[in-house]
Amino acid sequence: MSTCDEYKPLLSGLLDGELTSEEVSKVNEHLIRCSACRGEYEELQKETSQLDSLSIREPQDEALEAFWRLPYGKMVRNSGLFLMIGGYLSFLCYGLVKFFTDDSEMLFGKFSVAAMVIGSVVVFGIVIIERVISYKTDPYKEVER
Amino acid sequence: MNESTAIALCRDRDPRGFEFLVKQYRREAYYHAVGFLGNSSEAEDACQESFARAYASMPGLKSLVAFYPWFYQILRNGCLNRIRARRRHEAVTDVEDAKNDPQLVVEGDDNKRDVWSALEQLKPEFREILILKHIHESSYADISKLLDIPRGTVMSRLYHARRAFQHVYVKAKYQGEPQ
Repeated sequence: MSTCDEYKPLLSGLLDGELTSEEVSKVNEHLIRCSACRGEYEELQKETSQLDSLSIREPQDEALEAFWRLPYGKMVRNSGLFLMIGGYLSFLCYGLVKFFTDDSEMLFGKFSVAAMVIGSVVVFGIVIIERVISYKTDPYKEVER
Repeated sequence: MNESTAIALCRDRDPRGFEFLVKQYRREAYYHAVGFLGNSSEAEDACQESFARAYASMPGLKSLVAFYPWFYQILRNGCLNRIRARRRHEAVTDVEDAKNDPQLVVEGDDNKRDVWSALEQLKPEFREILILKHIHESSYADISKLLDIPRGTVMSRLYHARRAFQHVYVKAKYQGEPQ
């Protein structure tokens, strides 16, 4: 080793007590001869000692608990939700089919219910289409709410 | 249960093994993430996301001797992606996000908060190695294993990181002093 640049990383090692005895004597020899590196070592020692006193705040136990939950819980919840919604929808469809195919029901009642169902589907469809159009043209969509 | 049994269970898709590993390393993961991101709620999100990713990838691994160094790479990439997304967001919206509040992350007085603020201005690789050395008090051998870099690179990165910190910290201190 001949230039100061080659010794510089070793100054960190010396500061941390991580050099081998051979490296320590080489760096010390250089520091005796080179006042610039000596000055740099003293500066490093002084400013970086500020870092030693830092400590990060303890996290909340609840936050740590939330890092991982067994996947069974999620799976069971999702399948419960799926069964519940599926059950409601099939029951609704069954009721509607029965209602429209049952001859004993009045024609006026059938028309009224059909109008309500078609109206709801149309309104719901329009809302979805408008949301899609406004999302495509929204200049502020990158801004978090 | 020990770590190698837990790893073997995870590779057989048994979540009990992963639960053990999470309990062992979640605190360490949080401290590393908060060091990168400087924000506790973002660090919590990054940890959750990284543990979920690790759980999904473990059964496909050919071999895994130690969990944390492997997991750390997932966490590190997750944190760096978040930092990049934050910068992209600032560039697109032309609005700088609210600065992280050091008071929420670091314990102690104003001087310690200034030290933390100076650290936050460094590039992530420098901040990472300084935090590993000074806050986690990791040895060069531990840092080398965790970051998967040789001892010489640990030493030179630490040197450059300390110089960068010194530059930012002294400059901030000088600017803060009354004329």
